[in-house]
Amino acid sequence: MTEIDRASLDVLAGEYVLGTLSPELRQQFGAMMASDAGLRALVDEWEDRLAPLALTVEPMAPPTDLWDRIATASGLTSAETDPPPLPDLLGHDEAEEAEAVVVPIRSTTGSRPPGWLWNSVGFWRGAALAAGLAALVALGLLANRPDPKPIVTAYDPATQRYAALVDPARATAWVAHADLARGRMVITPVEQPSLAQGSAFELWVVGAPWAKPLSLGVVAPTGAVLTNLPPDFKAASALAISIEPAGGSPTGSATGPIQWIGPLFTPGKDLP
Amino acid sequence: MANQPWADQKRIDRLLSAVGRGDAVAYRELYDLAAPHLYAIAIRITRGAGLAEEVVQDVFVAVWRHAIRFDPARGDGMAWLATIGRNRAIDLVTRERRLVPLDEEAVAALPDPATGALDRLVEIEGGRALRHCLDGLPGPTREAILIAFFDGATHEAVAKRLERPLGTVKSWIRRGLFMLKRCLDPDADPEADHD
Repeated sequence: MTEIDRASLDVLAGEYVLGTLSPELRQQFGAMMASDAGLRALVDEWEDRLAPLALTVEPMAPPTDLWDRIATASGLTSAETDPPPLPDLLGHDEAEEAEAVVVPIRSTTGSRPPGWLWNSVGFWRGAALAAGLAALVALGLLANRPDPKPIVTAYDPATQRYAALVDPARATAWVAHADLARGRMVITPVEQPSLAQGSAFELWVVGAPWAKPLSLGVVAPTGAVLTNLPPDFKAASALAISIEPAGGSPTGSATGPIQWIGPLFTPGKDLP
Repeated sequence: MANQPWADQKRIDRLLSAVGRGDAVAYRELYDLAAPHLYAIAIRITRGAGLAEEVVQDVFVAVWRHAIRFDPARGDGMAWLATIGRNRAIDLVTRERRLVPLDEEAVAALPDPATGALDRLVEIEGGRALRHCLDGLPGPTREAILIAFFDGATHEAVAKRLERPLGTVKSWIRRGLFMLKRCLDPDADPEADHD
């Protein structure tokens, strides 16, 4: 190949990456690329050169049902085909809950709920479905789905903790799943509770390692993802949520009523 | 910007590895972090929400099914996803362009990503050098390249947008690409610059 050929192919590769080629030329070039590693390398280089530009685009929230469709197409779960029933931990129907908690994905430009503990994980509302999935995965219920993937093996039950936090009347509940191996916990309400203006839900962990309940921070009414659990969390015995002034308890101890509480259990060990 | 996806770059890399191991929770989290970005890139190129959703879905399903695999040696995960998303969007639009008239009015209502792109570029890993080199291009050339990149637009479409003759815009873009390459990797291919 002459240098001129190479130079023009390189520009062609750049134009392919930019997207300026006519449809016909683009298809021809794509076909050539499939059988020509040198050409593919030129394209790769251009992709690398220009990639930072793509990251300057202002994010936009996709339609709220897009995740459902992706999950279905990935063989994970489906709103249309009936999902496998969860064990009746809460006296609720999982299918209905899945519908109820898949609420609009938080706009990425929206303000972040208060809370000093969480880092920048971007799904406060999406956490709900993640929790549902986590539960299904951990319980092995996805194993019979079409096109199964080996997701069950990713979990060691001994490192998992679950809790259903219920109110005294057992009318409402939150579900929590902690993955000690990853040091993270997802907590989500079964139905989004109402929160009075100027108040906040604060999450507490109770157990032998702590002289009194330890605050894990303020959680949004839509749920939360905690990514830095305290080191002794594996010895925790219960979770509780109290109602506190906005921003959380000013004293470091619960000052408002404990609204929801539930024991933490390890699957396979604490279950009967 | 209030929320910078590239602040989550390392997290996205880790999530991609976890998704590679079949971790469904990581998959969902990856979606929450990366989908708004892919959607924004795709909607501009495809001129419509329907195709943009298809792009996002195609990218995620391909990642989940291991049809494509992230190689951490080749830069960061979000840039990788964005590149795949752009390609997919351009391919879809190439296919559909002959079938459906594109909704130019709807796309005119979107924020123009080229505006401010240069400012945001310096905040991105690897963006500083690109910014410097784009700054070195003649104004119209830079504009043509940015329009082409963000809209995935053909030479014809860029020419129409800039109200310039097709031949002029074509040579701006080619010349601009030469200059960009020379600026970004001056030692790589000196003999390629003799146009």
